[in-house]
Amino acid sequence: MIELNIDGVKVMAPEGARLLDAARDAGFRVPSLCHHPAVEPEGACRLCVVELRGAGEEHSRVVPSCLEVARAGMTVATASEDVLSVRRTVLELLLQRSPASPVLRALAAQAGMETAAGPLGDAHGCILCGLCTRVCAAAGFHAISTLGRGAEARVGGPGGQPPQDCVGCAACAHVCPTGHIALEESGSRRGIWGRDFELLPCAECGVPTIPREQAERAASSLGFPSADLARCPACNRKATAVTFGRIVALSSTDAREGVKR
Amino acid sequence: MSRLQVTPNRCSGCRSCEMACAFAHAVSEPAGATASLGLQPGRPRLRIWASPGAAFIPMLCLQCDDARCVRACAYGALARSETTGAIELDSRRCTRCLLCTAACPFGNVELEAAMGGLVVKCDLCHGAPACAKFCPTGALAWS
Ligand code: SF4
Ligand code: SF4
Ligand code: FES
Repeated sequence: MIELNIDGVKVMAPEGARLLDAARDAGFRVPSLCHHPAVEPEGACRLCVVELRGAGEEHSRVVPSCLEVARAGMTVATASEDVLSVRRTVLELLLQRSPASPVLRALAAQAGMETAAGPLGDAHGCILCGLCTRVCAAAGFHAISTLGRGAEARVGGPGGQPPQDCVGCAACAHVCPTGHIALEESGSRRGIWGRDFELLPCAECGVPTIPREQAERAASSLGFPSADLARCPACNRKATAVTFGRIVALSSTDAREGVKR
Repeated sequence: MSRLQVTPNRCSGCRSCEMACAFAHAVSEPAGATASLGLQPGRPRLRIWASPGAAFIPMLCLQCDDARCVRACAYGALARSETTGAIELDSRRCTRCLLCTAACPFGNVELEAAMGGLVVKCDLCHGAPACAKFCPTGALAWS
């Protein structure tokens, strides 16, 4: 453990922890958009900035806390004037891209900014933070990526087409900070990125489980038996219980004797 | 290291363990709930199975050595705790891909749909399993 000072409070953090995690674990509220503990930080959104002075350093600097490793003796300010001004600039730029986003508007309000009333446009605009593409790559699918540049930039499958390597796991939709990735689910179908996936029906009871492609991928790359993947948790539990029940029944006379004695 | 010992022959089927688990894993109510009750009991992470004509079988995570749930997670959200031996799910790292729920051959990882969609599994209560504490017959024992 190392000791550092955040907003005038002594804070302990595990060796190697990122500043953002250290601050949050200690109860400080630092906003972020592109950070998710599932993947390595990338420092794309710059919303998580803090003002930092290292031990023995004379000057402080404003840095993204998701990238910075916490070190002993650091002095950190999470809401200094400099921090707030960088944060406001970041939000202003993001709001230009996505003026109607409720997530961005809430963050702007927290930062004490005025936002235009009732703006039009995509409420769930992409801010190009790349979290979805990183999560997809971490799972080994690399189905989506950032296409184009500047104002034209967007995330999607190769050539803007529905991504053929997508297995429909929807991890990208769940981590997207602005809710940009449309996920449609009804009964045994799941629609995402312009593709339509069938949720495998449980082989015993028929409830929809995970997409067929996701199960097939797990069977081939992780070597899981398809029969196990084809049952829902409740039916897997039942199958196990029936086996256990047989074992218990076989040994029950002995065991009961054991309890009596 | 202590272990959770399961002796199905001693189980009376009272399901005190399920109740204890649900309360030990209480969760904040979902946003927008009408009546404010603060915490709500969670989904029990173990179940008592009544096998027809025979015994009651407590069904819970085996904390497998080479666990499929751990292998399934591409994000390191499932990992063994060195202090308790339990495979714990760090929900901050979870992306809700649900592969672990399909991967566990015993059905011990589930989506807690009612409570905002958290994926949950037995964590041995970080070393003090509530189920064992409340089991009146010793069918579940932590020793
Ligand atoms: S959740 Fe399932 S696969 Fe994972 S350790 Fe428990 S029994 Fe094994
Ligand atoms: S649902 Fe969460 S814990 Fe389970 S495999 Fe996916 S990311 Fe990992
Ligand atoms: S959260 Fe740190 S830069 Fe986006």
